[in-house]
Amino acid sequence: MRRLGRWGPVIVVGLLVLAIAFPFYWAVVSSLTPEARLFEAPSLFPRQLVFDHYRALFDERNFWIPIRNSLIVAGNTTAFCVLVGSLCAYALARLQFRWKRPILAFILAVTMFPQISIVSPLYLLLRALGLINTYPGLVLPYLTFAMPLTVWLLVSFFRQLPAELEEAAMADGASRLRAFWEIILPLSLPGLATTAILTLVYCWNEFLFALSFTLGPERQTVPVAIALFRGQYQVPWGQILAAAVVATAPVALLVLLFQRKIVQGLTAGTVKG
Amino acid sequence: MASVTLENVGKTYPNGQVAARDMDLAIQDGELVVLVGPSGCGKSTTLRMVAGLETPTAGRILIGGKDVTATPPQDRDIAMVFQTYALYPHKTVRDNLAFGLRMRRLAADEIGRRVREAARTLGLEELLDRKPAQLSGGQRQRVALGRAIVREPKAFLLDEPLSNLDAKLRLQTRAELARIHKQLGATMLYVTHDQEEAMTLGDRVAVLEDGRLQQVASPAEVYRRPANVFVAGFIGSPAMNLFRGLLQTDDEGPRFESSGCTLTSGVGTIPGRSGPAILGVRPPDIELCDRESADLSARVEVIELLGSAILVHLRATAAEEQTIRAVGPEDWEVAEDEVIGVRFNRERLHFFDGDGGRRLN
Repeated sequence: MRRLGRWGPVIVVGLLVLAIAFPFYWAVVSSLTPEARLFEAPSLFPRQLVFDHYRALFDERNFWIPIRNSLIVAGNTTAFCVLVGSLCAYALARLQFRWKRPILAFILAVTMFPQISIVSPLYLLLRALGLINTYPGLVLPYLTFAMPLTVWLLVSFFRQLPAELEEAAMADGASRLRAFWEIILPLSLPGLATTAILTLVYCWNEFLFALSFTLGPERQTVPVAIALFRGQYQVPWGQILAAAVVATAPVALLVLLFQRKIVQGLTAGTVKG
Repeated sequence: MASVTLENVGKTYPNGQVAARDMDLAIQDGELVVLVGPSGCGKSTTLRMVAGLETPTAGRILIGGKDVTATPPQDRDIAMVFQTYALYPHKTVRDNLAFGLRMRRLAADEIGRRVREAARTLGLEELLDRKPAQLSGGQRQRVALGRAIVREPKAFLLDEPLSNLDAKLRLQTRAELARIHKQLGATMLYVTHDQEEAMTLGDRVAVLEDGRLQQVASPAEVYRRPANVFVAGFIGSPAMNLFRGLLQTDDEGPRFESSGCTLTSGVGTIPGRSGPAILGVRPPDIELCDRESADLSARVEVIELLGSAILVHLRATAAEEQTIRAVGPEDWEVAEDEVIGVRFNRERLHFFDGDGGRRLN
């Protein structure tokens, strides 16, 4: 019984990790397996590693372009969200004004629409604005879901910072904006990092809007590009998996690097700092 | 430095809660006034209104004769010390001290000079490059104080600055505060719930209850002649004994009667009027005496040794619900469960109106 008590959790966690990590492992292995052997009896350990798929990905398919597009779109959305969202969240967390609660509720309500239900109105709107197949044409719709996330996360983060800090700064002669910039923002770095990464990941993986509002490869993002790999007669599994690895690796790396900050940000306020 | 004046200041929150009513308080240039009262009496709100962190809903606030009621905190040139210290956790002690000076756009060498000077005054030189998290409670407190004095502001506002320190450190810092106040000749408004702190630090003490100023006077005056029952009970430790009873005046002179005690002798010390009244006697103003000449006979319940004195808890034999606290010298001849006679010092009786609690004598 005691042995089970000690090893039980380890086994459960081990199985979970295995279930989560295996598909990614399988993708990596397959992306390095020659096309001809992909459909033979699968083996857990690759016998021969080739980089054909990756070469094809970047040489023939110009995979750099979707990567560039994704970086621009996700990066801009994130930067905009953190800049504008943090100011907005600060106001909602600290300032006294009418309709504060309704505004906060409204911001959350905006995210409740199923994405598919706003694709057509957004399409018409973007076409009218001449923004179809442009970067702003993706950044703007992304803000509709990224901004509420940012604002909500940061509101709760700002709320748990003691109000005395800004009050001290203001008594020291700083304006509210200055106090925000010099005192609150530096102390909110874990929160800002968390929101930035979550926003970035969300935008990086977004598919429906990217598919609907882009027309050609010159503006397509990574998920759209991968989806359009499949031709009429064949599916280039090797390249798709290689692209998946290329698309996932930087995000996974980012999250691993900032793991501690993210946990800090998400659990902010639960214990006194 | 400058004077700070509150004129008819009132604060009512949108939910109807009243934090300050019709408050008039004039703090002279260089004076240290302590705002003291139980928690929730509105003392912190009053301080925050002077700082500009809260807006009064009535009246005016003047700093140095200038109306600042609508001035934001950053333009009032005051320095505030918070109970939680509110040090900037991501800045070093040096940068914490320099922050206010930077906000006022002082030249870099002037900032350096003033920071060094403040650090010397408070013995912080060794700590200048540390972050607040690496400091002890007492050191943080000194940094918070330093952040205020480095600014050379018009007035200091201190919100329970000692209440997060342990007892020994609190006494030390209290003395240090008194020294700084003298040395700088600083105008200070100091908020505390600790009446002892108020008595030892204040040039004047302002006692606050329920958003209303009860008495503003020197510590000695507040102790010797409390303006009403609330002040009498709040100031002084152990607290004053209060007896509810009746004042009567007839041919034999004034008389005070309550279920616990009857005071007859003492013309001149008992007010000559009739009606419900409250008699107040401070614990050190109670003397032992034989049962015949006693004002009151009581049973000794508990004796506490305070060091150089003893605190005796008594219960009146004539009125079971009346407890009495008496402080006497260590060699007082009392024993637990003994019935003794006590006498009140006639020179130090306090009489209050039985209805409003106003002082009568």
